[in-house]
Order: sequence, then C-alpha cells, then structure tokens
Amino acid sequence: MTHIWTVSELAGEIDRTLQDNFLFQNCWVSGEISNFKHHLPSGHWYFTLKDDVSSLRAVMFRSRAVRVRFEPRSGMQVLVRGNVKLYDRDGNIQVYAEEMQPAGLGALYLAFEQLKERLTGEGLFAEERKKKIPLLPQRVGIVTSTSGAALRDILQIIKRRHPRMSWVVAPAAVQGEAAPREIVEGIRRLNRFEGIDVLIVGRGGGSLEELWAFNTEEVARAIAASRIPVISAVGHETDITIADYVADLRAPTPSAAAELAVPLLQGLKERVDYLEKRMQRGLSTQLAWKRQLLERLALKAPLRDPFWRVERGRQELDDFASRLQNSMTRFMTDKNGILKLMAAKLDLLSPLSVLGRGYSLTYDQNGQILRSAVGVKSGAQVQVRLAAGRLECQVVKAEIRGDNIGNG
Amino acid sequence: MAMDEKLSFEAGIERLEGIVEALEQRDVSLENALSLFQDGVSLIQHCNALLDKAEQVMGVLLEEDGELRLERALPVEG
Repeated sequence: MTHIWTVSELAGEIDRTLQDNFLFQNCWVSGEISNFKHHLPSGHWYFTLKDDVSSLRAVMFRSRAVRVRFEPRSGMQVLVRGNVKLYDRDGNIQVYAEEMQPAGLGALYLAFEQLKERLTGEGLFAEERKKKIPLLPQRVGIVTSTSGAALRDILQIIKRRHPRMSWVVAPAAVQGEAAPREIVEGIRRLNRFEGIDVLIVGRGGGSLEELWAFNTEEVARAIAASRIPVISAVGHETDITIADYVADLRAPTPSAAAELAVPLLQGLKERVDYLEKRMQRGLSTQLAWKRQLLERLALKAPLRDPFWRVERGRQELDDFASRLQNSMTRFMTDKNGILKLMAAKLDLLSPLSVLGRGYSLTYDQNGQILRSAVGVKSGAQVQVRLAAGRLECQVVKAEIRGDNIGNG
Repeated sequence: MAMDEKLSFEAGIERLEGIVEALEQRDVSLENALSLFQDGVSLIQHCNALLDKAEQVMGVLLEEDGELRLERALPVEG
C-alpha cells in the first residue's frame, strides 16, 4: 500500500537523508555571495551562494560569523565550509556555514586544513613525540632571516637573560619561493653543528601568504626530523602555523621563543646557591644529631666511672674525629668556607672538650694514667692535665675511700 | 665521586635536590651523610662551572660545498 506522508514527515525524512550523507556535512563550497544580509539584533548572516548556473541559500549564525576575519559583501567570491540541511519551515535546502574565507586565500586555508589533517593522522603533532627543551642550553641555534627584526629581538633577549650564552644563526629566507627550502636547510645544518641543543625557527608577524613557508609540508617534516628540540616562533600570537603544531614547543613571538630557550642566568645561580645552603644546613643538622647521641652517652658514663669513659670513649672519639678530619680535608677545595663551619663541629667532638667540662687526667712520674690512689705514696710527684695547661703536683696524702677499693 | 663532565645542568640540579632531601632525613649514617655532602659539593662545583662557562660561540653558520663554516659575529648590543 502506498505510504502517505504528512508534509513535516517528508521534510524530516529529506533532512535526515541530507544529514546522513557525509558529502553534505562539513563540506567546502566556493561561490559568489549575493543578497547578503546582516540580520540585527540576532547578528546572523543570511546570503545566497551562486555561480553561473545555480544558487543555494546559506546562513551563518552569529557564533560562527564573529570568527570571520573579513566583511563579506554581495559580489564577493568566497570559500565556505558548512553543513547542508533542510530548513523545514520554507522547504529550502540551505548551507549552514561554519567558516568563510575570501576566495584567493580560501585556497591557502583549504590546503592548510588538509595538510594539518594529514599530518595529524600521521601522528606528527602527537604530545609523546615532543622533545624536552633543556633548562640550560649549551648553544642556541636560530633559523631565520638575518635581515628581519625577529633575529634582532631574539639576540637581545638572549643577551639580557644570559650574557655569555652561545648562539648560531642559520640564515634563511622566511618568505617567498626559496623560503621553505632554505628553512629546511637551516634546520638540517644546525643539526650537523656541534653543541647546539635547542633551535628557534621563526620570523616576525605577517600576512597568511607571508607566513606560508611555515605551513609547508617540507618545513613541517624537517622540524619533525630534527634531532634537536625545536621552538617555533612564527608571527604574532593569533597566527598558528603547521610549524607551530609540529614544533616541540610553540612560542607566540620570536622574543617569547628566546625567553623559552634561554634561562635567566641569575635565577639559576640563585637556585644553586639555595641548594648549597640547604645542603650545608642538612649536614650541620646531621652532625648535631650525632653529637647529641654522643653526649647522651658521655653524660651517663663519666658520672659512674669517669676514667673508663675517657679511656674507652677516647678511642671512639679519636676515631670519629679523624674520620671527620679526613673528610674535611677532602672539602678543602671548596672555597665557600664550609671548612670553617666544620671546624667548629669538630672541636665539640675532641677529647679535650671532655676536659673542658671540668674533668682532668692525672699521670704518674712514668707518664702512666692514674686510675686509683692505691700504690701512690705521700710525697710522690704527679702531673695533672687540665683542659688548659698542666700542673706539677706533690701528693700530700693518699686516701682510699669507699667500699669498692677496701683498706689498702 | 668522579663528576661526569657531560652531566647536564638540569640533571645536576636534580641530583643535588635528591642529595639535599636525603641529608634532611633523620636516619642517615655519618658515613652516608659525609659522602652525600661530598657528592653535593662536586655537583655544586659542576653546576656553577656550567653557569660560569664563557665559551661564547656567536656567529652565522654557512655551508659551502657541503662544508660548514662558522662566521663569527660580535655579540649584539643589548
């Protein structure tokens, strides 16, 4: 049985058919604008696209129209990207425009879009391909025109940030027919030169045609093939080129590229100084901790038996001190007075500092340490070693007290 | 520790940061602390040497018959 549609059913089916066909979606159409109307207050554009034979209605909504960088007028040749749909109220098939370019440039844009799509498909812009820019380059390579303002800007910034930074320029035309080949050669040449570890490839701002070399496949592939990480620096902030997509890092301007490539020397110095101070403080703290440990022991033992402490502890202390001393000697080369810091620490570990707390050592005439009054006769000569100096003494009376020794 | 002359500034700083963090831990033996410190001193000297390096190769790189030639240029006026 024959199906009878309502009008809106049929219109809906036509629209679905159009939208299901990928040829009509996101397609490019070139033609001449006629009946151009800028509708207010909506801000939408209504116009007809035509050629010698046919015409098609078109609309561009305000949200898309604001991105168009020229003013369309009737009679103008344009290239429009959009979707074909049925406007069901009037039964008109319309182009819903997403993007519009003037015809001459339109071809360039189209080529740009196609190349971008192809290289994206190849993974040339993938994040994981991107090489890291070194924090402190050894030599900066620059591919640009030697007559442009871009080079002057780059070199000034480099000098300001790091006055002794090395740089090497590979001169290349940055517009005109020879430009793509010369840029490619420049990138390859700098890759062959020793010591360069970051490249700036770019030029100052310009029209789309002037920037064209940076939208070519050969330049894109040379950047991708560069062993050295590349910072792109093409034009002013709004112009994004294929070179920008493929570069390891994109800078909005040549000056910005120089800032990304070359660190502030002063900033790096401060970073090293800061780490040095933290390291010294770290070691001081370590020594303080170890000393606390020793002192805890030293304070316990001598109260019970001072000479045991001195004799046994002395060996440990001497050992400890000589290890420190050896290590310190190795730091002699350091010019920043670390040694002075260490000497203060060392002093606290010396056996002499035990004497400094008021202990003394007593020797007999043979120079043997006296540990007991047993066997010391009245009138004997003994020597007492103090923290500062020594005393020659004569024993007036030898007396043994306490239970541990008995009545000798 | 023998310092690798080719060690990059970045890698040097990273190692130095590791040493500083290790030295700030409580459970480090004296030997370890001293050896860390010694390594740190070498790294600081290495990093400072990289910062103070005055190679100053500045010029235009030309190619003639496949041969590279660096035409030295004076540093630009800042």
